Amino acid sequence: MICHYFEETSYLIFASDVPPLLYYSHIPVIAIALIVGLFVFLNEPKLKLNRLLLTISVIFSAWTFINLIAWTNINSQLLLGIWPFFAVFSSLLAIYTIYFVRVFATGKDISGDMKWILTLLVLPVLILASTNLSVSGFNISDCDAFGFEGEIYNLYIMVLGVVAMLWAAYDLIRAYTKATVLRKKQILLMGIGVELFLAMFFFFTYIGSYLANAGHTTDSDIEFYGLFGMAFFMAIMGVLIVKFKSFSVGASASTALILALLILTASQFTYVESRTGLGVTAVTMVLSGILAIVLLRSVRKEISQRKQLEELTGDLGRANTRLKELDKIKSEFVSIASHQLRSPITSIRGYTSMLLEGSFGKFPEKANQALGRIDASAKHMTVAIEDYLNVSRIEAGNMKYELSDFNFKDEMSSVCEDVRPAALKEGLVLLFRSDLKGRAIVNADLNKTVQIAHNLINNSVKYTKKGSITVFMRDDIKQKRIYMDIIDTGVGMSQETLHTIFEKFGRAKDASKTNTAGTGLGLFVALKMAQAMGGTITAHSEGEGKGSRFTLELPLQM
Amino acid sequence: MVLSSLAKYSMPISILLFLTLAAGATFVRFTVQQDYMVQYEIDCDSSQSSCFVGCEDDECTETYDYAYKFRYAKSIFEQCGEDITDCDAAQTCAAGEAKCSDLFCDPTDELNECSTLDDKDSSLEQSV
Repeated sequence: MICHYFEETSYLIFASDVPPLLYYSHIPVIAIALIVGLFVFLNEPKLKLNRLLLTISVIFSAWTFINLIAWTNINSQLLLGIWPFFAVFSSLLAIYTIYFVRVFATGKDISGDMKWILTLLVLPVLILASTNLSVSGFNISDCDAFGFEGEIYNLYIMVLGVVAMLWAAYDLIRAYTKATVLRKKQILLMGIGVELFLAMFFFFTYIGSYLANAGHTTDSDIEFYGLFGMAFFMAIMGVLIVKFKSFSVGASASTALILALLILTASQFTYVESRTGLGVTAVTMVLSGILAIVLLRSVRKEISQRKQLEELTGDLGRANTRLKELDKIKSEFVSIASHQLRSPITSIRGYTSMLLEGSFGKFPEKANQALGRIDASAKHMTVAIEDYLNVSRIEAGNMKYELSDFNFKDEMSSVCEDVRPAALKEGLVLLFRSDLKGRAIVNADLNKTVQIAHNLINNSVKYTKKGSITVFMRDDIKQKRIYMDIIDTGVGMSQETLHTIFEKFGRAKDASKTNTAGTGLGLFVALKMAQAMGGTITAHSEGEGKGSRFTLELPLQM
Repeated sequence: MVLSSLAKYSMPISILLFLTLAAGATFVRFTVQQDYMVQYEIDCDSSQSSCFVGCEDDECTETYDYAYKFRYAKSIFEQCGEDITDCDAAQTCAAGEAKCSDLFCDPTDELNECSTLDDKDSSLEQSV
């Protein structure tokens, strides 16, 4: 049947006897929705949120396109063929908006159950689309089917729209309460965009249909205004893309999007003929221009920041590679040099010891003093070489650990006994205390554990001028950990030193004044060894001159 | 593998399936079977019935009287084809035709502008 009161359509959507706002409200909105949807999708097709935004854009565009066909065509069969799909696409729009908002709010896909709930909500609309409940006839005089639409069917679509609005609001409010400040801004923007879009779309289309159905209007051109909700929604998506990097779209790509949208708006001047259309287009152009300037500024700033960051990252990367190379060369050099030095030093210490013991006859007192200094220096050198070799082994991953069960308390007590004469010589008291609840058995490398303890207690002796050093053993059966605290009344450390004390060559600022022989490697080696055995070492000090506490922690063998 | 993919995409698959079925059913009903009602204006004699008043132009300088006819699309298509403009058969119901009725203007309805004639009641007369 042909609506004989109306003019023929050309190219499916072009007719002369249509309201001037028709093309303005439909074509640019379809283009904007599809451009933004496709653009976001093509930038990151695997992202669920991007796929859903494209789905919403396509459904909305489909609705708007069949609406354009309904406004311009005069064939009843064609019009009735598409009429049920207003309800179908509206319901799909409602459920996919719920889906989209949930994924945006939670950052993950919805559950299978929720997918079924959403599908079940839309199924009645699909199943009943071709029945009289949807549409039963056609008015050739008005060239529409408003008078033949099913009221219950229409009401269900409106209810779906309200459900979508409430559901989206609930999800967004819930996410908002748990979000960070930056995320809250994104959620707020999304909330405004989605709610306004749904409200405008469902309110105006339903109201348009209702008024025409009730005979208050012959046309439902009020629904045109509902479509602008999508343009607003997409503008909000644009802000989310550019300002908050939502949908993982790059900054330069965003610029292209803004320009495309501006060109699209400007292109309307070529086909909008009415004065109203031209006026509205001009206002839109100005508003879009302002928005574009704001967005482009933000993009330009980001691009420049990103460039700077890329340059810095490149420089840092090159510097890091060079440093690694140098570090490797240094380690190799230290390893070779240390091995080369160890043999002559051993020889020097051996012969010095023999000379001091009188194996080569008696020497005058002054010569013995000199020999004593040679022996002490050679000892320091041996320790230093051992440290260098240990660092080389650790960095090359060649340090070997022979794990066995032993009594940690007994071994640490022995270490204290070994160090006590040296402490007494310096006028210090070395105390050993324990508050153990368990058997204090650990599974670790005995020699290395003893080496760590020696290092820590000797350090305390070296950096304590007067007072005492207390070695305190304690355990935590629940956590299966054992601790040895070495508490001294020595020079203490600043917070700055505490941060660097375990680094290679990380000595305190004035450490050389107190201990000239230190290499700055002992604590680094001790920590690496402790960590390799499942433990750690921590340091604590109230400040310079206020003493310090080092804690060696190892796992307990239960 | 295929089953898990089906489960994963059950929502879009179900929707697409029902959407296709709905499109098919709609096409068959409205295009092939022409199973729907049509409503159109018919001539109305204001001396006999209460008629709706229509405007000939935008300024409504000239008016005309009309009533509405409701008919089954297939019936009228068989008589008049696509265009009912010059089809006299469109003005009346065929003998024994079901689902054929006229709607005249209801003066009690404020939304309607009816032709002003004495003792005209709005009526929906079902023709035989």
